[in-house]
Amino acid sequence: MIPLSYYLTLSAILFGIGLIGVLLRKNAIAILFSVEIMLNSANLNLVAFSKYITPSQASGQMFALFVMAIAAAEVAVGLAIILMIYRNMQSIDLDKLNIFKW
Amino acid sequence: MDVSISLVIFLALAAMAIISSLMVVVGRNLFNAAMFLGAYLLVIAGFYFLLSAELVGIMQVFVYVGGVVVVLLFGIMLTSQMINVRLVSALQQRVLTLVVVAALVGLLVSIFSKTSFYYISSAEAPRDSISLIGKLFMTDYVLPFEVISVLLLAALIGAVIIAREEGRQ
Amino acid sequence: MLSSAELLNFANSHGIPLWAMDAFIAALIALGLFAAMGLGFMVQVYMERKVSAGLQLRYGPIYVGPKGSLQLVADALKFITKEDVFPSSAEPWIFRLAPVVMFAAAFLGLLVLPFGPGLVAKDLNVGLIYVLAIPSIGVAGVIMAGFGSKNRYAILGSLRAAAQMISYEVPRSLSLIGIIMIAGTMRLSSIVDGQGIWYIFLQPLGFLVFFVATMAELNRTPFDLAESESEYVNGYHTEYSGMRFGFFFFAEYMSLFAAALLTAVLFLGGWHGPGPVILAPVWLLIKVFGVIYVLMWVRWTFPRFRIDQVMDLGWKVLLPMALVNILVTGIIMSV
Repeated sequence: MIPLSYYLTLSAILFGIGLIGVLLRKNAIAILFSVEIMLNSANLNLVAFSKYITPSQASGQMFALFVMAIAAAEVAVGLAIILMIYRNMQSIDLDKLNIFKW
Repeated sequence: MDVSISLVIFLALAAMAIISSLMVVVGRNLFNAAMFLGAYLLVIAGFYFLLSAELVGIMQVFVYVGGVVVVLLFGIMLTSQMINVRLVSALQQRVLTLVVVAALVGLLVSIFSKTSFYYISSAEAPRDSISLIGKLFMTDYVLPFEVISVLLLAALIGAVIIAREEGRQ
Repeated sequence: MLSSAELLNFANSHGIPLWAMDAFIAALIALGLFAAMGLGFMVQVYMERKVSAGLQLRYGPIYVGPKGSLQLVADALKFITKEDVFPSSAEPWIFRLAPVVMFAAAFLGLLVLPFGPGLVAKDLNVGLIYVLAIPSIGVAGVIMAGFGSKNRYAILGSLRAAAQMISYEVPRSLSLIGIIMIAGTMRLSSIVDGQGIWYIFLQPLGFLVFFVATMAELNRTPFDLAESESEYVNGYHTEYSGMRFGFFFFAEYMSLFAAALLTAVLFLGGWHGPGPVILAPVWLLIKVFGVIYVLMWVRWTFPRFRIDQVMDLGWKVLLPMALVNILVTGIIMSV
């Protein structure tokens, strides 16, 4: 069996890549992509733990399925908000969204 | 499957996951980034199959590749003027981000390499994990299950209301 | 057919590593499936031409081969020798990759479908979700084709096709939940084994929803908004010609075959029929081509819907019907 730490290391790296995307990209849709990368790396972690620590209870798999449902909802609402912003401001640069500042 | 083959598969999948996620993050063209995101999500589904979580793997394909990626592609095409616009963060922010992320990942990896997981179970996964998951959804996890269904309904209605053009009844 | 024990012995005695054996068998299965699909493709295209001709009081192809049966060979030659037109404004890689994605999605969807008792490439325990999930990758292929060609008609066609396919995936998946509840499994071969009474009689509403949604998923008239010739040339594959178009064509008929096979397996008792077991694949094929005939009949009889009618039908009629079907099935099962 592959050591558990391989999976954990991989998911940490993928999480880091996603985090870079969230912090560096200014395009709102690209940030949505990066959030998906992070969510999936966390899911990978959960399923790996489920297989190695509690194989008979499948609790990690349950949580992965819940995360997927939430991610789907998040994308639908997030994209609707981005489309609304684009329609009103003709831009999806998140740094320009500072109309609440004065 | 013996260890060496599954290790080879793991390493190949890992390389593909890292490359495709990097392409998503650094790519300039959003449409290509979405393609690589689809590839990344498929690779993650491959990992689930490797971990013998077939249901999660197939739901990953169903929900993410068939649903999320397609919806994101819709979003890209509807904001198509932005597809090749280059938005670059300030140098200061870039350096800071890289340092913080490198520190975080380094910390996590060093913790994982030093921890020995005492609880690794030698029990085999149940042969029919699908019916087990189905039972758990209706017994132990029934409350989160119901909450999720309400959340999805709210997201559905909310997305329609937000995205609808104003002035149209 | 060799049993797995014999194969193991053979591998051991000749010093062939196990993974090489696995890879070899997988390649053989893929090749066999591909050959079967190629044959099925020819039969289906000939059938489509003759059925449409019959319904429209025409002859259909008559010149090439006996009764025009080799027309597809002539077409294939035309596809191969045609100039490979590459639009100058197209996104090169996305344009090239789109037919491959469509083809791969359609082909991978076949992997879990049983052609007879034991005649299945991989009998997954999540087979039913697999056959619904894998073809949904094809939607990404449709969008890639539309976006990659950088053609307004193609983009419009691909947006409509994708919207339609996502919308109808919902009632299509929900209509099968009744079957999962009755059969208590998602393994396709076990579902066939459990059909003492065909599920079309136990799940008439589910069958209706599934069948209509399948028609929409296949982008066939009356749901062919994706390539409605009279509105925008040819939809998402407007810019494709020659072999690249051939890939789309092949993928389309492969998904038609897969959809008919799925219908036969889920609702029409699969390979069950009178006679010895050896006749099982024959019965299955008769049912499959019966379903294909009905699909063609519908295609050449009804006019096309408008896009808003398609969306209304999916969300306001089929989805509630699928939910009612689940409710009724649950009530009847618990009584």
